[in-house]
Amino acid sequence: MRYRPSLLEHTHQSIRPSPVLTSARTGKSPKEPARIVSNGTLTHLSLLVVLVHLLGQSLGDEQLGTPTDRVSDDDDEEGETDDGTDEHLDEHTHRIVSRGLKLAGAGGTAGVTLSLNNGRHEPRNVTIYETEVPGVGHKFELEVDGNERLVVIIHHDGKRDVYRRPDPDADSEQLFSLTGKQARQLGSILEGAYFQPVELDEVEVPLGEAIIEWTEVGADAPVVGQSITDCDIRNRTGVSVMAIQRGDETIPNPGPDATIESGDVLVTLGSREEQSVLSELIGD
Amino acid sequence: MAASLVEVGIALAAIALAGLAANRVGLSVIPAYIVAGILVGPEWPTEVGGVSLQLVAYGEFVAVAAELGIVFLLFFLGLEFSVGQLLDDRKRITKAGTVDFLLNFGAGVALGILFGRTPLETLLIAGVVYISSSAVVTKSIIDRGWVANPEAEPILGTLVFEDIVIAVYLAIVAALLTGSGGLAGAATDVARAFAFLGLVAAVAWYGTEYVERAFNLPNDELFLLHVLGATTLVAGAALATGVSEAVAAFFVGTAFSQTPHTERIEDVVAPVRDLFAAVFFFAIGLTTDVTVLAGVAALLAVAVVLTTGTKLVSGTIGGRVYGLTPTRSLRTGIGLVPRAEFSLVIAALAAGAGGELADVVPAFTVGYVLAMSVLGTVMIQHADRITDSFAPLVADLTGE
Repeated sequence: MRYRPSLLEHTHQSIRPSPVLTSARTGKSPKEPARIVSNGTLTHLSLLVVLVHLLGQSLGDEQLGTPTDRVSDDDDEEGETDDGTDEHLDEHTHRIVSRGLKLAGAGGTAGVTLSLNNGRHEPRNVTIYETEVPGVGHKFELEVDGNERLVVIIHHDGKRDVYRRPDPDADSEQLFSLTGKQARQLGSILEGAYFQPVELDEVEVPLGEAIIEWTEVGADAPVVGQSITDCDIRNRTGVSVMAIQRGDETIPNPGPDATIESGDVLVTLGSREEQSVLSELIGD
Repeated sequence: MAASLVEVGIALAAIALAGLAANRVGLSVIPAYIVAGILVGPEWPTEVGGVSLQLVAYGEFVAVAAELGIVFLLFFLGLEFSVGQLLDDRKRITKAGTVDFLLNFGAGVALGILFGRTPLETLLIAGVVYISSSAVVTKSIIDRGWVANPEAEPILGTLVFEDIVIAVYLAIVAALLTGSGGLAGAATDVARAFAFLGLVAAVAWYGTEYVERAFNLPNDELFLLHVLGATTLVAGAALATGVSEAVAAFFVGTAFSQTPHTERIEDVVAPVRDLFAAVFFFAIGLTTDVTVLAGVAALLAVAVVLTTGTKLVSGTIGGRVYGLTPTRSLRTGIGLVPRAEFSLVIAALAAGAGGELADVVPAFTVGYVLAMSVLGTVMIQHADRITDSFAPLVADLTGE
């Protein structure tokens, strides 16, 4: 898993951004669009990510400067990071984002171009139009497929309204409306980054007094080289060995003949006292 | 003290109930606040079934709070005034805005001449019928979902254009109304007004960095107090030198609009604006003598019909300037029909001037705003019927 820079390449200018300007931001020739690594399957994800950015955009900037801005990409085929473009681009992106926000604050219609290099094929430009709605907040229009547009209105109080306009002649239908917090949660779900940490105190395993422990076998432990039967772990400590982890390998339900080696991790079930006896026996 | 506290309590409760009622029926709150003021105020109706309805007098508190309402309405107009939007889209905004101004301000001038009003009254009536209500229009197009459609562009663009016109207009009219009279005197007053406003505008333009740093405050409470203090002080100083406090507040707002503080102001200061603006609309109701409306009934009736039509036409042309379809162009016109808060600001200016002017123009404006804010909202709600009937006509006329 490697972190890539944001898929977003923002340029702010009036109404229609041109590819020349897009590339000017990253110092590349117009022929070679901003290097934004993506494979084919990622393109749709990218659209979602754009939506996420729209939903999550807060003028407090802090949302945009965080690592959530980045998109992880498991595809390591494209080794385009060797020239350090990544960092460069990242800096650029963030600077442009904050500049864009400032621009928006000062008022104005701005277009944002997103260049998505679709699996090294022709780049595809997704244009986002940003307009200030006086007294309300900001409006973003995102071209989806063909003529379809998603319209996001971000109110000053943080509320987000999301509309869909199927084609230029149709009326926008409101899809949903979210508070700022809900929008950020939805955004992280769309982005694939939603993670709810589990409170450890609340984990309940119905084992009564028993707990499961992972204990490493020390190099000098007396049990090294012996089988489970030989060292009589059950009688000496009271714990049952559920598994032995050896390097990358795990031996589940080890038989009585299984030998214990230095560096093994024993996964054992037993009471807290029994576990500490085991730890004294096999630990360093 | 107890009596005045009760009075203010009645005023705020009446405003709250009126707002609730308006919300229930899906209308703008502004006419509701005015009606609440008329009901509990000193003028007709004075009693119902033997119970006195003269509950709230136009006291000093209401007067000052209403004044603050004007100041903060204009402050926010300046704050939300988007120089960037104007410059980016200046060609289309200028075209649509000019058509809007010529047709609607022109209609106001025609009304004044037709009904034999004095030049100053005519100027005021023209301003009242010209300026659309940012508050009502914005709320309505959000409720209707038009804000996400292309017609939002000409609607908001036209409002931006009107903002500049109204700033200049208020500066001139305020100078004329408070002025010493005579052509030379009027010219001096207008010149002084622009000198003062030029100063504020220069500070707004060049002092952005300073404003940004000075208002970089650690908590919302201090921030609120600083913004209120600065704005009210500048507005008060303007009024003391005979310049429109509203326009001064507008420029203070623009000074903030270039800083990153805008969002915080929208968060922290907007509720204060809402409170004082509500009291302002209520106070308009308090001072309105409905019986005077009878005297301007004919003018009012003609004005409502004529200026609904001119807004529809100018808005539709504006929509076509933006290259929209006939239906969307018509919606642009319908969307701009509501007139409310800025018309009332002009009326308040007239009311402060004294003389016959102070009777006729405010009474006309209250009647006009009550009609246009309700009519405009209802037209936006039922826009489909209008666009269905007129879209083919627009298509024919514009050759599509």
